Order: sequence, then C-alpha cells, then structure tokens
Amino acid sequence: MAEALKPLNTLVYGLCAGLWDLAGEGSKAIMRQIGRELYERFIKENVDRSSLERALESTRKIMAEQFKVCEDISYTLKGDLVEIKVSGCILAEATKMLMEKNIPPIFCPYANVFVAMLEDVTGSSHDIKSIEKVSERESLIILEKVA
Amino acid sequence: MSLRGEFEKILREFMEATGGDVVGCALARTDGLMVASVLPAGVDRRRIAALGATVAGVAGKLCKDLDRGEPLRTMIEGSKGNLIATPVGGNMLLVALTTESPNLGLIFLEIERAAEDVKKVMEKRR
Repeated sequence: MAEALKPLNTLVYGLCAGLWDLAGEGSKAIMRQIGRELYERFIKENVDRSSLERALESTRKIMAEQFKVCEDISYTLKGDLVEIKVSGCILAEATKMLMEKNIPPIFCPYANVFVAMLEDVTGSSHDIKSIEKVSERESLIILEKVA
Repeated sequence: MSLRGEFEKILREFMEATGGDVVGCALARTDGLMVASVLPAGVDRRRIAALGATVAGVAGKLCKDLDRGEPLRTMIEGSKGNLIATPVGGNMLLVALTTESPNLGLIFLEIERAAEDVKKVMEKRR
C-alpha cells in the first residue's frame, strides 16, 4: 500500500469492520444511504442528466478525475444492467483487509454512489447485483434496474 | 398486473384487515431497497425501507450473537405508535407503522397472512 494511503485505508477498514460487526446485514441499507449522501452532497449538481450515458460519463469524471478516488472508471450499458469497472481504487487495501475478514463487498462507495445516481436520473430502483475483483487492480461492479 | 401492483394490493388488504390500526406499510428488501409501499402523505418511502432494513439487520445480528435463533419480528414502541419489521421470506421485510394502541394480536396474524401472499406472488413469478 502506498504509504500516503495507509491512514485512509486503516480508518475505512475500521469503520466498515465495526459497522459490519454490529449491524450485520443492516449495513447494506446503511451503505445505500451513505451512497445517497455522497451523491447528493458532492456529485448531483454536476451530473449531466440529458441522457443516461452522459449521466454515467459525468459521474465517472467527477469520481475519477475530480476527486481522484481511483485511476479510472469505465462502464457498459447492457439492457437493464450497468457494468462498471473500477481500476486503481485508493481503498483497495481496506477492501483486501475486509475480504480477509470474510466481510462481503458491500461497503464499495462506487457501487452505492452509482446506484444513487441511477435512481435519481432514471427514477428506477437499482440493485447491486455483484461486486468482484477481476484482477489485482480492477473490480467489476454490476448494477441492475429492478423496478 | 405488475409485480409492484400485486404487492401493493397485498399491502392494502393487510391494512384493511387490521381495521385501521396499521396506518402505513411497506415491502422492502433487507438491503434497504423499497419494493412497494402504501404510506401516509409526507412519509419518505426510501427512508422507511432503509431504516426498517437497518433495524431488522441489527436485530438479526443481536439474535445471532446472543444465540436467540432467527429474528421473527422487530418492534419499536413509540409514544405515537409502533414500527414493526417482519421478515416475510427470501430477502424481504414487511414494515408496518401502527397507531398508538393497536390490536397487536390481530396485526401479527395479518402479517403472517400477508407474508404467505407475498411468497405466493414470488413463487408465481419464478
């Protein structure tokens, strides 16, 4: 882990592990709300709502280029599915430590922020279908429109 | 009828069967996603789903950690009414808001009936 990111990852790990320990499955609902808060406070006003593709692109730019929370984000629309690939996440080490403790990957801020954005822009509920590591530096998030 | 429509019908029938003691209710997933709701004006449906799921999740963790088995329902008594969150199968919860002095026996009975109806709809859709 880059030394500069060690304090951040340590704090995020502690927060997530503690939350999981006390709230269990209830953490999923809390993370959904955290995603909404992040979206409302930092992202929503700069999202291009003229189309879903533009909304995805503007969210990608804000997270990857403005806030630099990862090296890059790419996305693909497949019907009701949105596939989001995140590379070079600054929270990769915290994620690794959570996985080592057998805590499911529900604390992913990208997934929850994108869900909040999709719900706001489309008016439809979206589900985090899966989050998996596809390589050492990349994770694949699949979101699905459910209603 | 859409899936949401079918669930809303079950929720309305549940409320009617409780004779006005349930003033609002919702079907939510355990991850806080709202599925269907019949709620009074001014109640934020997304918040009900998120808070109901959080409360039920914490209750599940308590039961597990203290070896109390599976949580059958979680009830919070407020000075103006109660919140009851009940797992109804799969990853779904029925969240009910009641009046101040409701007939809880009847409500629990009707929740069981509504849970059966929800399961039937889910099975039919598979």
